[in-house]
Amino acid sequence: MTRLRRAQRLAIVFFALNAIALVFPGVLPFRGPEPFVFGMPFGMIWTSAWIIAAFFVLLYIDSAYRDTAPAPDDAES
Amino acid sequence: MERWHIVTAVVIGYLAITLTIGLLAGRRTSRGVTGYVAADRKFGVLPMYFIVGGTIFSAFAFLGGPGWAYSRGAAVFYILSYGVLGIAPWYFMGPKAARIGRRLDIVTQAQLVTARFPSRALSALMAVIAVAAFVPYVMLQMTGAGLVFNVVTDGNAPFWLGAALAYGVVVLYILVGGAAAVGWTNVFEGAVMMVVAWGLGLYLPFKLYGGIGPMFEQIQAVRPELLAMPGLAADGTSWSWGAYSSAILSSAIGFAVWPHLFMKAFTARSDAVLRRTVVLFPTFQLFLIPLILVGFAGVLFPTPPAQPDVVLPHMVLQTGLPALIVGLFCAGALAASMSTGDALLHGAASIAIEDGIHPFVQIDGRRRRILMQVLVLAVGALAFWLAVVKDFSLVWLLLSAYGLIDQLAPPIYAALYWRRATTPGVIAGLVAGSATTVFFFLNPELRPFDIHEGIVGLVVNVAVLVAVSLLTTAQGREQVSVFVDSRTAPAREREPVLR
Repeated sequence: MTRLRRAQRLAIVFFALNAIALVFPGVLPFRGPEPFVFGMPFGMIWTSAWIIAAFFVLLYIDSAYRDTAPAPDDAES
Repeated sequence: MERWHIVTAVVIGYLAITLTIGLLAGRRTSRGVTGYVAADRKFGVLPMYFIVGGTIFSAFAFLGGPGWAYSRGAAVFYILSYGVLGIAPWYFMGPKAARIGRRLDIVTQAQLVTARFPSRALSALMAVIAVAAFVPYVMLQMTGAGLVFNVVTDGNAPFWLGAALAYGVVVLYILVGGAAAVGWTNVFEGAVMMVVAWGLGLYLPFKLYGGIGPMFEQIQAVRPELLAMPGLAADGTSWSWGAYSSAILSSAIGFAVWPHLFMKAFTARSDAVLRRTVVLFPTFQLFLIPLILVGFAGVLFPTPPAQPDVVLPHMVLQTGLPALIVGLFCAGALAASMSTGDALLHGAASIAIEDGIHPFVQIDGRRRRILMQVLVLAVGALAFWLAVVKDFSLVWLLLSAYGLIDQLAPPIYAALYWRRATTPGVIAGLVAGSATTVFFFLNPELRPFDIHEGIVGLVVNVAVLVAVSLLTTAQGREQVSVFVDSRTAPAREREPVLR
């Protein structure tokens, strides 16, 4: 399996988990305000942490894309 | 000189800079439809980052977001939840659509779908849905601009004047510069709104409570119901998990297929630019955090705002900030409103002409561009009139628009990824899904488990699309290959949509 294929699979699994973790019933264990983290309610930190994690996952996927030979349309003009 | 004079002067300065950027930006693009609608497909990563962020985060984020945190507490976490989920499919879908767009000279979403599923009726239907959803969304942006202007000038500038000033500037630069003006003004507007949001979001909790932690501890002691998900409904009772979860899913699904955002795929210089824009998007999304903090800062504020949507300007005015800072806040809120409103007005006009009229009446490119400019004026005037004579909650307007936009997702995904989809299947699904959405929007008490009407409509839409497609004749391999195998398919010309 190529690195790009692995990255694409990671993207599917990560964003599926992301959706599950933020809606009912997946979010239930993380719904409460406590413990407060960085002074903020846990629900807010939980939701924000998925945004930050998504950024790093997207970075990884993009690095895998850039390692593959670009299609002609990919070339910067 | 009174304080509101200085505030007004700062805002006028901001509007003058925005107008100048918009007018200058349009001078370098070609005079045809591709120049006006897609800025000659020349945007790089920096403008695309701010175009996508500025287009997505609107007056709703700047005013409705803090308003929800203030009045509905943890319910506001839903707006933090859907952005990244919504943009992620764009990493794959955006470049694919852009690649097909470059090959077939496509500049709108409906052109892409009807190139795969040739049907003038489908093109017109998608145009009607888009414009019907855009008008309340533009109203929302104008309402935000009018509200802010009215509040920060201590009521000296009437609601209609603020909306008219901001959108007079927007209409002018769209008329002259089209997509290029929308794009480059978005860079400036996006930067202004980010700086203002982070500045206020970190300043107010420290000024009022001594920090973010002390603020939430005090709220937990006095109003603990605000901090546990799913927060509160509009009437102050606990919000249902069905409504909370389906608001996230509906917004995430609709997010990537909003036609004015989708069209931006056709403005990017390359696939790589689009992908990097998606990668960087979460950094823009995080600017919702300070806005939410500001809303929570209002919970124990000594005086309540006139309505939740103005809690941010209310606090800015009541905390003794210098007039210059109040003016910059106003500029940030106007930037949020205008950077979305301009894309909507430009998108509505482009879509109405390219997808609603051009498939039925052959018009040359120069005349289409003129007609688009006329429609920018007409849609702007209609939304302005509705915004001034009607009074709606910002969030209610946005959520009602998302239900209809969700119905565009199945045709787009089917066009790009499902070989067996057929034109009758897509049309039947779109009609059934839209009708279901409108029905449950008008009869909310009938919604199962309080689920958003857009999600119910989507279930019907997909079921009908699949069933009718499987019952009708499959498309030819060559027709399908151009879209599903876009990397390897041979180039071909886009045929006019005649059926």
